[in-house]
This record gives sequence, C-alpha cells and structure tokens, in this order.
Amino acid sequence: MPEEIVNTQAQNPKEDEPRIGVYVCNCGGNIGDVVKCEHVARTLERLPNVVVSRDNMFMCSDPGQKMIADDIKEKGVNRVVIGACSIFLHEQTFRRTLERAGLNPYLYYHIGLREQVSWVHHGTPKEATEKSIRMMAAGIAKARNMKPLEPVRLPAHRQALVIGGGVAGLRSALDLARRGLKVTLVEKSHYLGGHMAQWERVFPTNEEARPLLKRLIDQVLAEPNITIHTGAEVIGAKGYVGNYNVTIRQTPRGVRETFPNEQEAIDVCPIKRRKRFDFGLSTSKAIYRTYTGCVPESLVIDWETCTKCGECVKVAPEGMINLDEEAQEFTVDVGAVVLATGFQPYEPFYGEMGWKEFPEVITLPQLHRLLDDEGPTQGKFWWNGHPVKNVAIIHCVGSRQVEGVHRAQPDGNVNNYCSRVCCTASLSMASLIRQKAPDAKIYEVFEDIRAYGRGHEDYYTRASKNNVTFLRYFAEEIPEVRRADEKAEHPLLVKVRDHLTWGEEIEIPVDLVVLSVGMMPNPVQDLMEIFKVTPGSDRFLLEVHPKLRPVETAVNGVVLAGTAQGPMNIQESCAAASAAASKVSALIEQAKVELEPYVARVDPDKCQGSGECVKVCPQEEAIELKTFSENGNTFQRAVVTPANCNGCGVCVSACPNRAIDVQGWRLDEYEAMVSAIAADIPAWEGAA
Amino acid sequence: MAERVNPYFLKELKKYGDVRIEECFNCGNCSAICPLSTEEDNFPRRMNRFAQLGLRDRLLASKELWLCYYCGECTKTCPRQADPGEYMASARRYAIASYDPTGLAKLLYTSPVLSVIFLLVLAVAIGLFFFQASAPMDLQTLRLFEFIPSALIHNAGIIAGVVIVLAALVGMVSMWRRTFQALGYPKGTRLDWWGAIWKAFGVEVLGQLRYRKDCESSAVNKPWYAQKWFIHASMLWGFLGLFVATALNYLLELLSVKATGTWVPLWYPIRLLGTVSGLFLLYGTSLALLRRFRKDDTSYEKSTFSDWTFLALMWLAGVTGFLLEIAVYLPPFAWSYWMLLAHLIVVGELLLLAPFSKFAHAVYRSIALYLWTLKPLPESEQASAPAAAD
Repeated sequence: MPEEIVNTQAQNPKEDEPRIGVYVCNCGGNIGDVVKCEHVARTLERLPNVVVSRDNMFMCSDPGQKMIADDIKEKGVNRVVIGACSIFLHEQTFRRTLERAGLNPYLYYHIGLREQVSWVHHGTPKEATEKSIRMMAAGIAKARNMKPLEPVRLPAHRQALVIGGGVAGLRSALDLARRGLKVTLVEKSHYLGGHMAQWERVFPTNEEARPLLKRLIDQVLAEPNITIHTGAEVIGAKGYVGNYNVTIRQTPRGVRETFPNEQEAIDVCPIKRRKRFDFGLSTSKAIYRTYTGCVPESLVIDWETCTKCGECVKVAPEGMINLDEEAQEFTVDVGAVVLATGFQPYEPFYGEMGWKEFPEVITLPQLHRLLDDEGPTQGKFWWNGHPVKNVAIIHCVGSRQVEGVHRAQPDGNVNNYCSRVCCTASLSMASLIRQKAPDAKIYEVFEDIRAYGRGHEDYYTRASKNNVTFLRYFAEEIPEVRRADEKAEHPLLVKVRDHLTWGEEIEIPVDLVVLSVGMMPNPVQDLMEIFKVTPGSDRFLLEVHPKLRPVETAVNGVVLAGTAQGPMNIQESCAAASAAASKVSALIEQAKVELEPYVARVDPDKCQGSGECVKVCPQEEAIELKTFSENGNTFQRAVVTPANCNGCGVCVSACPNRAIDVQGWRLDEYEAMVSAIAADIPAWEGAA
Repeated sequence: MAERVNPYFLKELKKYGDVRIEECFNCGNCSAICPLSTEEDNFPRRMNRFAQLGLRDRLLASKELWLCYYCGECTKTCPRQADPGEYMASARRYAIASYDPTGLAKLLYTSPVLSVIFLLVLAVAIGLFFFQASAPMDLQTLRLFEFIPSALIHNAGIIAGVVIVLAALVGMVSMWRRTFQALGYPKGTRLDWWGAIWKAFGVEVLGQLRYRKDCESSAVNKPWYAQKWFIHASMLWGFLGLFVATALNYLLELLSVKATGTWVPLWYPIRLLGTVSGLFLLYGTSLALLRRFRKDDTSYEKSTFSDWTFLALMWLAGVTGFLLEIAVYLPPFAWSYWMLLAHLIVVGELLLLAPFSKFAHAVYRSIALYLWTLKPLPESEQASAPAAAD
C-alpha cells in the first residue's frame, strides 16, 4: 500500500531557473553583535542566482516574513536561504511563510547562525563573519540544486490506544474521546484508577482521592468512544504511525458481575494473600475487590494464589463465577499510542533505614493506607495495636541518591533524580496525622524541602505551624534507624546528623518510621521493545526534547502521559496526559498523517537489485526488494516504505550503483555545498 | 555522643514563659538581625534548635543564653511570630531554676500563687525575727538601732549572706561546669584568665558596653536617660553603690571609727554614696516598672510574675530606704521605726531570694560574659604548655 503515496516531484511553475533570496537575521543582537550581518548579505549578493540578499533585525517578525513573501511574489524568488536561529525554533515559521507566498515550503534552507556561529565564536567577530559567509554560501549552493518536495502522507486510523488506566491514561482517553476519536484503553490490573485510588487525600486541594478519581472514571465510562479492557496487556504491535495493529491479551476476571451474597463467596475462600492494594499491610482472600466503589465494581479472582478449589463457585449464583476461563487475545487497529504506564514506589532494600528489619518501618504509600478510613486500621493512627505517639518521616528514600554513598539498584544504577512528589506528600501526611493524632510528635527528616508547586508551600507552613519538627541531613550521611533499648518507651531510634543544629548528631526516639520513598518507572521493557521507545538514564521513558517536545517520543505516533515519563504529581500527570491527547489528535484527527519528506528514494533506472541497501538498513520494513516483470523480464528493485524510513542515509552509502538518495539531502546537493564552502568568495568592499 | 531528642521538654519550658519557639522554621532571621550574635556564639537560632529538639543539657551549657539583653529585634523580625526574644528570656528563667538544686527557683518561676504565699510567709518570718528582739520605741530621740539592735542586723545579715553565697555558689558551679565544658577548649589550653576579668566585669558588667552600644537600635527615639541600658545600669550601679556604702559603714564600725546609727550630715561621704546610689536605684526601678506597665518595648510586652516581684522588691527597698533617711533628719515618729522594720523585711527578702529569683541573672550573666571574653593565650605562649598538643 504505501508505495502508491510516495511523493512524486511536484511541478513548480518557477522551477526553470533558480532565483535565490538570501536573508541574514540579526536576531536582535544575538547574531548581529558578533556577525556583521550586513557584510554577509552584501557579500553573498553577488553570488550566481542570488536575486536579493538582505539583513534584518528580526527575520521571524511579521515585517521580516512579509519581506520574504514580497520578494517571492514580486521579485520571483523561488529558493530561500535564511541564516538565523536554530531550525528547531523557526523552520516551521518560515515554511509557512513560503507556503503563504505560494512557494513549495521545502525550497528553503535554514542555517543556524546563532547556535553555530555567534554564540560559539563571540570572541572573534571577524572569523565569525567569515564562517557565516561560507556556511550561507554552502546553503546557496544547495538551494540551486533543491527540488520541491511534498510531505509523506499516510492514511491513519482515527483511533488511539491508551496503555494504562491510571489517572493519566483516563485523562488522555477522555480528552481524545471528546475530540471524536475512538479510544481503546488497556489496563493491566483488573481495576481502573491506578495508584491514585490508593491515596487517602491528595494535595494541593486536600480532596479525598477516590471521590475525585470517581468523577473522572464516571466521565470515561459515560463516553461511548472509549472501549475499556481491564486485566489486559499489549503483547505485540505491527505497523507505523497512523497504522498500528496491536495485539492485546486479556486475562479473565473470573467473576461476571456483582451479586448479592458476595461476602459469603469471600468468606468461603480458603486462601489468604497479602493485599497489594494496601501495600501488604493487610490480607485479602483470593477472591477480592480493592475498595468499595472500585471500577469495575465486581469481585475478581487472583489467579496467582487461587487454587481453583471451587468453594466460591458453589455459593455464588449459577454461572456467576467461572474459574476455567481462558485468557483471550485480540487485535486493534490504531493510529497512535499513548503510553501511560505509570510508576511504582521505590522498594527499599532489606535493612535500608530499617526496612523489613524492624516492623515499625513503613513507606509513605503504606502510611496512606494506614490513615485511610478503609485501610487496615480503619484510619486510626495505630501501629502494632498501639497509638503512634512519635513518628519520623524520612525524606528522599530512593531519590537523589549519590553514587558511592547509596547502594545501587540491582541494575547498577542509583536514582539520582528527585521524585518531586514525596516532599509535599509527606508534608500533607504530617497534617493528616496531626488531625488524627493531635498529640503525636512528628519529625520530618529531610535533605531539602522541595514544595515547588502552587499551594505546596502552604503544606510546609502548615506542617511547621503544626509543631512538626524538621531535621536536615545531607546525602553524604544518610539517617540510621536502629532498635532502642528493650525498656525504652519508643521502640526505634533514628540517628541523624542534623544540619539545622550545626551538624550535631541527634537521636530521635520514635514508634514508627515512615520512609518517604520515591518513584520508579513501572517495568515496561516489553512495551519498550514493542514500540521501540527508549528510556532515559533514569529508566523512565524518554521524550524527544524536554522543553520543546515534552510528550512525544522519538517514535512518531507514540506519546507519553504521566509518570511513565518521570516523577509527577496528579496535576502534572493530567497536564501531560492532556498534552499527549492533543498531540495524538493533531496527528490522526484528519485520518491521515504527514511526515517529513526526507526519506530514501530509489531511482528504479539505476537500481540493479543488489540488495545491499536492505542488508544495512537499521529500520524494520523500511526498504525491501520487490520483484517486477516487464516485457517478460523479471527483475528485482529496492522499494522504500517512506513511513518506516527515518532518512538516516545508510542505504545511500551502501548502494553500489548510487541509485539511492535521501530526498532533500541528495548527494549532488552535498557535493555542491562542500564545493561552496571551500570556494573563495570575494568580500564586499564596503566592509569597514 | 549523639544527643537524644526529648519531645516533652518544650512542654516543661512553656511553664517559664510564653514560649512558642516550636513555630520557628529555622530561617535564621533572628540571628541575622541580632546585634550581638556571631558565627561562634550564635543565638537565638541555635538556642531555638535546642528547645525544639529538647536538648536540655545543651541549652543549659549555653553561655549564649546570657549574652542576650533582650532588645526584641529578633521578635520583631521573626516571620513566624515564634517570639525568639521571649523564648530566650524564658530559657534564662529555666536555666536559673535548673542550676538551683533546691527547687525554690522553679516554684517561684512557675507558680505565682505559691510565690505570693511564699513571699508573704517569708516577710512575716523576717518581721517576727527582728520584732521579737526589738526594744520599745524612743519617741524623744530617734534611736533606730536600739529599737532593733544593729548587732542583730549585722549578724543576721552576715549569716544570711553566707547562706546566700553558698546557695548561689552551687548554682554558679553548676553553670560554670556546663558552660566551660561547652567552650570545648582542648585540655591543657592556656587561657587568658586575668585578661578576661577587666573586659568582662569592667567593660561589660559595670560599663554595660554592648548593652549600651549595640542593643538600643530600637530606642533611638528615646533620650539616653530613658533608654533600657541606662535604666538597667541605674539599678545595677544603685544596688552596687548601696552595697558598698553598707559594707563601708559596717567596716567603720568594726574599726571603731563610727558606730552604726551615729548621726552624720548628708554630705558625709558614705551617706552621700548611699543617697546617690539610692537615687539611681529608685530612678531605675521606677522607670522600669513604668515602662513595663506601659509595655512600651518589645521586651516589656510579656512581663512575668517574677519580673514584677523582683522590680517591686528593689523599688520598695529604695523607697523604704529613702523614707528611713528622711526620718533620720526629722523629729522621731513611730513610723520611722516601722519603716526600719519594713526596710529590713524588703531587703531581707530581696537578698535571701537572690539565688532563686531574677536577681540570680547577675551572677549567671557575669559568668557568661567572663567565659565569652575568656580566650586562649596567643600561640607563642601556648607552645610552652606541654598538654596543648593533645
């Protein structure tokens, strides 16, 4: 299918002879303070085919753009060479200028005078000007050889796949559906809501997490464009942007719907398991639900522990529970994929600040469950059957780790990033503890308080007004948790070198230690392989550019939402999710996608079918040999699938017949550029 | 050795004043604005930490508590209204109570009701003690020291003095041991013991240099004679002057130059010293009481019962003393004799309670100032000390 839409060289009415417009931008003073732009423009003016050569204070401004457009219309300029900032900033701007003036937008070459000349050579203006002239002369040489191009256009499914049913996935799905796109939402667990459902209250509004989440889930459920699959995983995908065929595997729930005597079915179950929803603080049966009001509401069987004894089947209504259901596999066709695979709390190693060594050491997520009215203590701030009087919350556990000080993870890395959420979360939990136990002593043992968001600082203020005592440690010497004497009133001692007390060593007697653990990405190695997305050094999924393209991955059509990309709070997750949804809808809403035309193109007359290109191509299904018959002769020719080609050019160098070129970056263009850089250019005599 | 956090300490400290230092978030504005705080002797901030964490021993070992004259700048600057100035004052009260092993200071500081009862009982006891030894009042000629024999007063005074000094010494030694150790000079360091004396007791205690020079920034609109340092100095100088006058008077009696109660003219040197000192004392105490009453300074806003009783006793001692002096130059009246008894009661209370009341600050602050000025001898003289190497 794709070869039909390989672009053909569009006919340009003014193509006959190159008439080049050269534009040198001062970028305020960014370029002009170093490079003598007028000198550059005047010098280049006299090169062959240059019709006009101008400099301007701000070429990207409306008057600057208008000047270019006027030259195109009035002076018949049909190639544009601009020396300005980086192409990442204004390439699109000038392409649109050309388009508005009726010129093919690819008849334009952009030279980064700011990043490549003035910013790096600000001490040597003379040489900087000389370098600018040469670089732009090369651009002019390329422009002479440029041909009009058309973007690669592909049909696209107006349907998106959202992987992950946490708050980011739900938000993304809802935004996409409201733009009229079909959405398939896949959630690995059997319930929607992700980690958010496990929290008691969430900052900065102090709202109860679950009612808040319920509002979002209800909207998602009411949306006819969204199809939800829980207990489902993506196990494979084929295709490319606009045209993915994704295979999903769904494990059965075991229980059809809610039924009246559910409690009876739970009671007869002989299996007790640690309840993951409570982070192991409580147990549940192998037939269970996470919390009252969860979605979907019906019970679920935990297949890992269920022995299929059938006791529950006997008490439940006929056909309600089926323990013999098989997992199902099915495929969906989607145009784009949102990865909202979320995070997992950092798991301390045995003995890290007393973790697992002492039962009085818990994590911040566990504290959420402990203070939850539906949690293991029905929300009382009790531990081991006693009210907690003294509690220490230790910050930055599993975050901002220092190599050589902190023990590395099994993969050899340390989490040197800040998990961002834990500071404010800890402070807000301190306030909650204060409500539940007005007399409790609360110690926050921190490195830095990073209450960065709107309203977060209030939590810090409130905590210290609430008599929370702060102690500050430095990463070089992490706090120590040890057992107090047997007769001591409080079972644990936290030892801190407190830099708020001039680096004194302080021991805090406590009943409970809470480790404010950071965020780790959920293990999604399989998805990374399926969609060819890459992680950063912190193991979270990586965006193209942290500032300019913050939710897109290097793979076109695969975008990131929420904590799969890095530590975020709910607010930021939702913002990222909405951004991801916008990107996806902009991409596939028109049922087609447009890609840059810089892809390999085979000249069928020169190609001898050697197959060298296919051997070296690093992309899958980007170039292949196809058999053709003509006049009774059967021969093979290389054929490019533009959607899968990333224009790397490896095939160009491998081809023994020089039959392949990358459009927009052809070898003859390169040769012209190299010659122009090396050529002598007579300087403008008007130079002072 | 790690310091153990004591979460209950603040509760104890709160009995000694309006302590709200738990509100402090360690920004350090208090120490930054403080005209006396330095990198080495950092207060109030460092002291705040000791209270927040309940590091009682560290607090009691801090001479910094006594380097503060409570100008109130920290309190005005505190972004959290944690009132570090009042905390420092309360911590000093707590320190006085802690250095005192008898528990009397604690009682006087923490319970106004028991304080009143105690002061009244003590007044009656002193009154009865002198009254039972009194002779009939002579209304022809004023014979004060026949009404209450001067020997009894002197002997009682000397015995009381010894008791007071012993009680004060216990507290002073307790404070000295803690604070000196906290200076952290390595064993064998040779210190400039003599050099510190003049600077501490001359310049700072008598001269009130830092109080005068650094701590009046908030009172620039007041004339010098109404400033806090001068009020304080008036009381200090007045009290010391009266003490010296009394001692000289007794000395002259011992040397048989002049018996106590001998009529002397107003310009007689000892009488003159006593009169001028009394004026200073009365001026200082009156103004202090007035300004405290008006709350016209940050430091005067939260007066405790112990502040009032100390000032009131000093003021009464001055007033009764002057009435007594006036009586000497007037024909004898019955009230002249009663005034002597009243004066003895007030002065007796003031002196007997000195180690247990706000009066005790005089010794503790002096020790602190001495330790503050105490510095190691220059390197050249250290080298001869064999133990300095360790």
